[in-house]
Amino acid sequence: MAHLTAEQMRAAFGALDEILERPVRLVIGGSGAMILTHGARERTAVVDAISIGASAIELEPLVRRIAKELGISADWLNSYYGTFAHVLPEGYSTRLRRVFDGAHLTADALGFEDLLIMKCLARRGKDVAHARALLRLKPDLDLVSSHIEALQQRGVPGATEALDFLDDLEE
Amino acid sequence: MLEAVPTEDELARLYYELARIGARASGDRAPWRYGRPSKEELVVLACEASRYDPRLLWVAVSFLTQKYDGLNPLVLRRVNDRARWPAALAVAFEFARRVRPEPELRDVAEFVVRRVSRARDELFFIGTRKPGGKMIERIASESLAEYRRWGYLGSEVPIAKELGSTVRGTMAWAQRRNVLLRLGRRGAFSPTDYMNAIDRCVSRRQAARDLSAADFLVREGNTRAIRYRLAEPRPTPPVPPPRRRAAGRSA
Repeated sequence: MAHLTAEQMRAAFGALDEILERPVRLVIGGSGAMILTHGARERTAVVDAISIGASAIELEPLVRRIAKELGISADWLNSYYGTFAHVLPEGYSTRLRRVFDGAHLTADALGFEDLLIMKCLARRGKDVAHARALLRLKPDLDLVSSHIEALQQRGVPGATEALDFLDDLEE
Repeated sequence: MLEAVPTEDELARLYYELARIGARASGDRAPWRYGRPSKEELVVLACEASRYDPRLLWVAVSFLTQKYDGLNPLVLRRVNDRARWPAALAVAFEFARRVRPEPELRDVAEFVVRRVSRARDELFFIGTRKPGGKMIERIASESLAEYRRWGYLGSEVPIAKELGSTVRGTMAWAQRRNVLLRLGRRGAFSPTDYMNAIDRCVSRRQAARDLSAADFLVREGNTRAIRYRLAEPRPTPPVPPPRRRAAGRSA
């Protein structure tokens, strides 16, 4: 399946909005958030999203139906992203950027600081280029590093390595 | 094994199939994509799907505790090698071994999960807690060792009451220390409050040692009136090693 453009993501959100029967909010991260808010890259394989108001299980039949209708990948909405939600700071919601506003569905992209925090905690080789692109958008690095340091102090796994990843990016 | 997020129909069928092999579950014979899986495939599927439907972890732990001797360990190991999240089975075995600390189950579990890699320090259950909330912060800070050992974060003990077990999860000192900090931030607390907060996962004697070792707490009162509260100034957690970065680097 071809990767998704911003236009295709919005079309998929629109299709989902039409078949939802109650309010659902998606918090978008990863490449999808970058493309939708800044056009940093042109395409992404999946939309990394945390759903609020409906579980991944409830959304799955709708996601599959839209995939068929639009001819996009069956797993275009990636709920697995939510397994890293514990690294988001308490104030992340104040930095969200609305990228879709429908009758039932709203979608908000994570702010640059929060995207960078998640990239640092993920710290995979493939995250480096994306994290560097985020740095060029001039996020508040004090917020990013102080939050990761707080995670480190609470013993959250991977936080120490995340700080090293951030250091390397800045050098 | 698990090919996609399970739908409600697929979960109903999974419960149905698990019941057919003797698990404590009930479901419906709904259509699904997995054909006629073997016992071993069902166990692996249940462990993976439990990340979306936590009840399945309780079912899998019960099944492994009571019926592990009906599974072929080599087949189970090979099936689990094909899983998207092989460490999920390892977590289920961790709790099964807590309920049934017998050498045979230990040997089977060790053989099956020997080559399994840890997950990526992620929440075990997907989408069950609000991002940025207190509960999710607590799971990350106070995760049980049975999850952490396999690269997951989780605080629930998936041991069904029907097993008649009083076994608790295991919490390492670093996580128990986080619990003490959290209690201290809320005000004065008693040793019993601490025992309850950690779900009595250590003995009273160990709890007393924890309270003595927590240098950020001060003790007030005696015997049944003992209370602990945060010492002033507020505690500073262990100082991390010096960092290379210069201070004050706003972009």
